[in-house]
Amino acid sequence: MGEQWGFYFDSDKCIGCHACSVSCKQRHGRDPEQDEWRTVTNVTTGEFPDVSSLPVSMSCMHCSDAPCEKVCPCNSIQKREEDGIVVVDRDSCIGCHYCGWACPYGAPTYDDGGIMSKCNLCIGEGPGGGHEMPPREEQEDGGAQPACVDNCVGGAIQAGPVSELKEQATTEAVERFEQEPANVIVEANRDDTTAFPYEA
Amino acid sequence: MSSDAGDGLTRRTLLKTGAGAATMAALGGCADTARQLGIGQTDRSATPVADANVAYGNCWMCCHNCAQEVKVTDDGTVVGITGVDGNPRGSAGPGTEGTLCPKGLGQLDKTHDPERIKQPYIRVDGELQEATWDEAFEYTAERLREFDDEHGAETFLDAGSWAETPIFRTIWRDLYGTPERIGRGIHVCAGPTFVNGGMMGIGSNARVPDYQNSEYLIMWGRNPLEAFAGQFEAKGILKAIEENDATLVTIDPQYTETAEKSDAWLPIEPRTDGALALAMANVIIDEERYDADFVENHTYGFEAYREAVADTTPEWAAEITGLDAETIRVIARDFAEAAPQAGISVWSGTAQSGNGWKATQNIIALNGLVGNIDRPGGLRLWKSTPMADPFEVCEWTPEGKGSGAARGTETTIGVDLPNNAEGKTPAFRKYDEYSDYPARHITGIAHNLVPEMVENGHINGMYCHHDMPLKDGNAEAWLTALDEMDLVIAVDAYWNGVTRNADVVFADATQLEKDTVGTGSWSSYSEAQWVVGGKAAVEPQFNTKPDYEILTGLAEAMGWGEYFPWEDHEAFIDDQLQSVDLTLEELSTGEKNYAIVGEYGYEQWRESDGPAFRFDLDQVPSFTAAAEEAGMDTAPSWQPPGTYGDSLDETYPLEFYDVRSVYFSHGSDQGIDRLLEQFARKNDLHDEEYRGNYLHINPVDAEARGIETGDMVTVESKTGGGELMAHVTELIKPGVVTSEYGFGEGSTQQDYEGLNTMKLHETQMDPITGQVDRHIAVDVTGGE
Amino acid sequence: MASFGLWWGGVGHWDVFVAIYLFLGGISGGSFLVASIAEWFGERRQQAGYAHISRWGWTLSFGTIVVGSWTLLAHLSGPFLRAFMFPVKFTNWTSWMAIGTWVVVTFSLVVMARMIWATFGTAAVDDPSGLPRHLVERVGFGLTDLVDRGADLTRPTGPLRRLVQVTGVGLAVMLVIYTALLLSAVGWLVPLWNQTLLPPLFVASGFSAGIALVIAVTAWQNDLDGGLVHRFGLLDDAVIVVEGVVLATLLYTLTTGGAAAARTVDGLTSGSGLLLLVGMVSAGLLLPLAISAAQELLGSDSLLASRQVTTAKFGLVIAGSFLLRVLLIFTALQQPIIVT
Repeated sequence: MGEQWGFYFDSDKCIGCHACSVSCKQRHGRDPEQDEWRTVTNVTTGEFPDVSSLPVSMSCMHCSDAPCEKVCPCNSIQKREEDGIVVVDRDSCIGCHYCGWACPYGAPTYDDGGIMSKCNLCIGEGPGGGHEMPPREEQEDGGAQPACVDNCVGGAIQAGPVSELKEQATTEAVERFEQEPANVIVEANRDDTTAFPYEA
Repeated sequence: MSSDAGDGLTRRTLLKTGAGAATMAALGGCADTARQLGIGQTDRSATPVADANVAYGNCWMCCHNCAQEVKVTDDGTVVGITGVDGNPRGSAGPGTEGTLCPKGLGQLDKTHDPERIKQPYIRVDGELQEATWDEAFEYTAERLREFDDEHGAETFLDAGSWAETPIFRTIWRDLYGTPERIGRGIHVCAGPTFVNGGMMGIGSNARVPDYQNSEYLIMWGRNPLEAFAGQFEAKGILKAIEENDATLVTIDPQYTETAEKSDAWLPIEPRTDGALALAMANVIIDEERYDADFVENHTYGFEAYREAVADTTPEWAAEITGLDAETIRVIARDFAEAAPQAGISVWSGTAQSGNGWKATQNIIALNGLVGNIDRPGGLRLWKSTPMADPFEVCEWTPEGKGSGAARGTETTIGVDLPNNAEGKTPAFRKYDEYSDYPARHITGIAHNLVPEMVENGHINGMYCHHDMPLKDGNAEAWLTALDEMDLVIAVDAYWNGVTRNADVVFADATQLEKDTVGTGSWSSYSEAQWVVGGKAAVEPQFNTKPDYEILTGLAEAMGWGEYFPWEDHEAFIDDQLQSVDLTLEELSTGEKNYAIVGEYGYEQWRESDGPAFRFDLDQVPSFTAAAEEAGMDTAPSWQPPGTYGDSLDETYPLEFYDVRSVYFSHGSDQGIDRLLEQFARKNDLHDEEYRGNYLHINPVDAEARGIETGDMVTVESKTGGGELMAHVTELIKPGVVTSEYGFGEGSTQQDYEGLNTMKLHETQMDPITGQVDRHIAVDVTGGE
Repeated sequence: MASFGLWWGGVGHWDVFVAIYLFLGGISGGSFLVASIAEWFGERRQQAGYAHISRWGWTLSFGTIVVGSWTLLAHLSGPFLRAFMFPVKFTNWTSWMAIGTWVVVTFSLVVMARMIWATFGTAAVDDPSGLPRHLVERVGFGLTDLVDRGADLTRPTGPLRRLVQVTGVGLAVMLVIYTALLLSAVGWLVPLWNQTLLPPLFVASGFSAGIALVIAVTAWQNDLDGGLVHRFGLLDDAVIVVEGVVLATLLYTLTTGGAAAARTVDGLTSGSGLLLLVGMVSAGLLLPLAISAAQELLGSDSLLASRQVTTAKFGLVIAGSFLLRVLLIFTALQQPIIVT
């Protein structure tokens, strides 16, 4: 059993530029109008002038307990033993969209020939790239850096073996990660990040 | 579950050899049926991007040179693009990750975009027709000669902008001999910032503080986490926050991405920035928090400044700006306390208004006051890398070049350029028609007045190169002017209001198709000078040419070939790089395509005599003349909104100005589908077909007009108007509406969707520099 | 200061074909149950009507599941042929879709068999309830003889017959319940697809629609005895009441749920969601009960007791059952991510 891979997202560094979405689509040869495998949304709250607009970048989280894998009738979705990456076998997927309902993060997309495709942590290129590929390697061992990580302007996204990601994160973030099924460490907000009457 | 996967794989393997084979045989081995049935394994192990060849470039989407690493397949297709680690503009400094923003990534799409202009066009009998390059060069040369005969070369306007070679200046000024020139910086970008800065002693450096060493950063009318001039700005700010625990303050009527990361957001009333700056100075001087040593020994005009801010208290400013007096006080104190490791960034937000001159002067003065001039973390006096002038240093053998005495085999150094614009005065300064404009003391032209100059016959033709003036001001009049001009020559990659109305369209190759070199001053290296370079990663696409070849081809047709002895652009660039002892080949091979070529320290003002900083500009003759005519003081002072330009009234009660976005820069990216798509997603309106700009409006103003997000609404000023889609948001101050520029009629957005924001605009301007005043009184209608 | 924001994912992964399929699955299972009940009573009482009901029950159950299977395939967005590989491909037994597909297949086989055993060979009849055989007769080619002989050869008797009856009923119930479990398996993420309440709701709805369909058709085609119509009508009313209670409970739990539940309620109480809800409740629950009550009160001689009104009432029940599925598919929302 290999080391589990995951994502690390720090919303303090995300500037909502969508470079991750664009980079992902380009790496996998997808047209501009196709659905995104990685989506950036600004979560906006409050009323002027007490407002906040936090950008969040979301993709498949390669969940440790992947609900999509559980509901897929054809076993087209697999969480790989080698690296925990959840991949889809596009040769057996029938396009029933059940995984779409099961995923809390909106990761599955169906506009590549009606068959499911999604983030494969860039172990391959293109829809379905990743199925039956060799174990994920880090960049220094020749693995491709995930496209979203490669071009995140703010450096908000990291990917790698979870043990290494933990070393970069705050204790609070790691503790929260260990309680949740998703394979992503989300950094806690700085206390005084959002802009409000300035405390001297 | 994962445990089932093992069984699944086994069954699928069996299927391949067993049922699969049988079924395939039964179906006659039809591959498509097999795929339909899902029999067998499609080989998905190909990695076209990872396996492609590596090449480099320096990004020219916003024209600030983040480095690119591109993947190119053997057949010349760009399939992958990303940044270069450690790059001065595209990373946070040595040893850090290089990235590309959405625009930079868009260069991949731009390179092979089938909507580009694919070949030259010339206008024959009123219609644009396809032409060969030779035809286009000959035709242009002929038209230029005719133009000179009929109107005089001095009425031809050089409006070249983001070209990737400087030789267009040589051609139009030195060779063709026109003094008429309109550039970006002073005329349409941030005239007050640049000119003020120059006169006050800091050049154009009020834009980019020394982010990475700073502890206190004020983004004043700036949104650098969105509209950065090189990604290093965004990265530098985030780094300052993380490593220095820097305080970030945003002053902006809109809540932007920068505001989201800020410790304080001041939703200021538009065009009142000058008052806020004076109030801060009032506090800092009153409480003696300024850098006394610097002020007393290295500045000029402090007394005038002190007097000017004697009464401009935070309470006074609070009424004007709509901000809280205590907040103003605290920010002023903390800024002064953190200084000299405190910086302010200003650019177009504070400059593009009628009272922008005084606003920027008041703001820039704060830097001198706290003594952060060229000190770590403060207002850095960035130093660019001097490039050699190829016309001076080139070594060439004149054989075959020129005629008569120029023939021969002796090696010559330098090109003997004529100076055919010498002694010629631009119309702005020459004719009485413009004697009411104070800006003629400062600069040679004003964007808004070009249409008038065309009407008066003072300008009869134009050269436009990678620019989009229809987004910059007075759009309706400019559209008419383009029609009236006798000769319009355009060099561009996309169809828009300029190229469609041109007499000659030279199809420009885009950045990855050219040999390029780039440099600049500000970067993520606080104390180093740098260059980037790139050999063309792919051939010029379709039937386009790199602009160097377009211009030398035109020069050849005009009989000026002797002045361009370089074999190709690479040779020209190699001469430019002589100043740093590099060739393009050396620069662009290896694992990166940039080089750090020099170092410089802080406090460079110690090397020269005289004040390092001026608060009062009464000793600058050009300014005093202009200021007197405009009716303004030479020292910092308060000029309310409406002193020049629009005031709000009952008919037009909302304040409109246009804004920037991370997806588009200037006017040339708005045609790229991928960027338009992301822009729509950012505004959560991608489910609509519409791909134009959006009117950002507060719910209070929207509800009063029955407007909801997604409605098509009309914006009107006393000059004109247009239609665009509404985006109702709490992230903007009531009474203010904004929209991104570069859309609508005449834009590069191929369907002209959206509003050309400058259709709302006429000749409102900053009187000192002629900078376009983009703050316009409007009303919005169109809800249900 | 705002303490948290919500990130809402996508909606609408399934289309009207899924709603139709769930409806047809429900009504097919319900029809089978009606046929089984009629068969059971028919063994104990000598009324020809029961036999008619049974035959129509099997036939309609078979017909609806065949159409339903087609709509099931129609919603798939993958290559058309690939779904037919399900016997080898559907290997994930934790997925209700895989389990359910097998239920549909086996149920289809059982209902086809029951239909054939009830209308071919020695069971053949000339009246309209023998429709399957009449259709095969039109085809010709000696097919009728073939099927007659096959039916007589294979028709079970004695304990085997009991087994087939019980298995059939079990499969019919499974069919309806699985269509609910398919949805409620992701009920942890979609509050509308309540894990406890959806199965009884579907069973009640499917059963009531099945009764309505079978009785209406039998009454129309075979001039079914008014007393039988009345008795089954009462059964239908009882099931409708149960359905109403379950639905009310479901809606109530939504009002006390989290953000997604609250937003679902918003969707159900405004715009097209409200129209669907009102339509479904009126057609499927309120109007039929009102008509039944009126029929009871006014007696069998009144206009209201006419066959047309009763048929219309059954039609409303069927429509209501369909609208329920449409509602459940189109107003469903996934839980948002909480962003702090």
